[in-house]
Amino acid sequence: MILLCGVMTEGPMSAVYEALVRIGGCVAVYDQRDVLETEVALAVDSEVTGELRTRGERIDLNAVSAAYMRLYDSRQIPAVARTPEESAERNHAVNVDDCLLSWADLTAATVVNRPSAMASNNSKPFQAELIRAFGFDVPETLITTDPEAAREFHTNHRDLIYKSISGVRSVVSRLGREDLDRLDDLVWCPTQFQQYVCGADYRVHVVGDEVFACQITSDADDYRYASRQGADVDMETCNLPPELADRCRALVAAMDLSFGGVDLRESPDGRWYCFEVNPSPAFTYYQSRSGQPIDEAVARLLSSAHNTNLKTPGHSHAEGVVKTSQSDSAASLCHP
Amino acid sequence: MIVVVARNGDVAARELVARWEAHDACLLTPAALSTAGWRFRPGEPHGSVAVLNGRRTSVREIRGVVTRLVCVTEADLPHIEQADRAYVAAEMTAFLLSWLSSLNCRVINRATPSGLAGPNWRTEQWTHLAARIGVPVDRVSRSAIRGSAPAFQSSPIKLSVTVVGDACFGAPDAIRASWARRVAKVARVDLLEVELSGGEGEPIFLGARVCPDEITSEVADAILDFLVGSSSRSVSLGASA
Repeated sequence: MILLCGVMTEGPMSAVYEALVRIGGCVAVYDQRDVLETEVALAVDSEVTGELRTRGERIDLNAVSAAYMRLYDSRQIPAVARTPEESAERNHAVNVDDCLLSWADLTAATVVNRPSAMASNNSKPFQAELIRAFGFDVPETLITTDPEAAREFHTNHRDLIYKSISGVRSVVSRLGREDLDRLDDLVWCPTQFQQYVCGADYRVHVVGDEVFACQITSDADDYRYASRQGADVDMETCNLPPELADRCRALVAAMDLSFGGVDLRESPDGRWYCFEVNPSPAFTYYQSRSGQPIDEAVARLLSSAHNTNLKTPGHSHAEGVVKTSQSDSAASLCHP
Repeated sequence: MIVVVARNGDVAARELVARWEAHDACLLTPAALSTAGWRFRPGEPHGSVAVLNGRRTSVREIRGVVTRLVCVTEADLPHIEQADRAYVAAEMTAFLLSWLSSLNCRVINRATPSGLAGPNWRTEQWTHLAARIGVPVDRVSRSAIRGSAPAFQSSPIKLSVTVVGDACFGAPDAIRASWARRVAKVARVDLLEVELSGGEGEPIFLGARVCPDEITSEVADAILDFLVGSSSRSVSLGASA
């Protein structure tokens, strides 16, 4: 059985679900919007066993051989966000999250991706050092609370960007003249500056051994937010040099990820800079523009892991989904 | 210089700093990151500048670091406006992960993406690891049931064994010392407090912590040995006596 955990109205989750349905995958679903009506029980020693009860169905976690997880902090789910801080509902939602994250890190099933493997993305400079070790160029970086150091760095490079250090998603911005006037605010918190690297942007999705590369053309500082700057975004499927594609595969695999979104930029002098590896890429943004069948590759990856794990001792062959009450909206569907 | 990274109210951290005064020990709290002067160039750590005890300090002066902080939280940042605290806490945690990982001196424990003081694992994860390397465990139950408080199975802790590098403290016998060492080794940590049950029957592994709440004198000395070497410690203590 393949388990999908996340908000099912979200693009990547629904795209993978539909792709699994098309290839006849046996799929169980935990829609995180149902967190307040969901229960989890785990037992852990050298193995982890347990069950997930959601929408009147019981999902035997022992029967899960592959899982695709895009869990949010449940406190952001509208039904939970409306509850008071420290309410029983909110505490329950946090506990469900924690149980599922714990299961995802410990289960023998293939998990795309395990929470522990995704954690390096919580510190961009930390992850950048892993990236550098794979031979990619990394922009010169200064993290500082010292306004004078930032001015010196600006003088040396002339063209800088600043962005968050953590995994908190922020808009990458060019350092403008008006920003130089507020550098004294740096003293409150270390801030990350990087040399601006001009060139062509590429997003490379690595799904198992499959590589999907597309070139992105935009005048925006951060193409993800191009519309805010009134800029357009064009994407075109491309082929990377084989050595570069191999390096992307190796980098993602070394991070214990089976699915990752690698952000590259090729500078005019032919150097390949890598800015980040996103361990939970919102790939449908790229798929809808490039036409690349990334959802199908993720479905194949999960299905392949499912078929492999079925042959592995310790994995149940049971479908593992039991209806415990009448429900007209099946949380899990098996497609023979 | 020895740096103890901890939150402001960490009594054990302050005791370590006082105990290691002869080694120029200082406390680094999250609030100290809101001070002008930090400069960090990832990939070029030797040129980095930290602000320690209010003084701009080259990282080359740092001989060892003890980290007792899992992450920076909003509660650590009363000087930051409420609306910005969560963001600043995440940024400071991310900065410390990168900065601590860049240091060439000894750091106990090395920062990991899941925790600045080493792997910030749940009891289930420690139990799973111990069981898989042959240490006896009690199966841990964990649940999220509506209308119930989070359920953890728990047994009374009778014994805490602390591993510091190759040294082990508090173990009543070689077998339990060996369990604690093996768990620490597989978890790739140099400081670990392992909790075992006691009483009748065979003792079992209950859990582990990378940040022991209390640090005994002998553990503090072992940490110092780990950081600066025992000969250096003797010389310094002799000089300060």
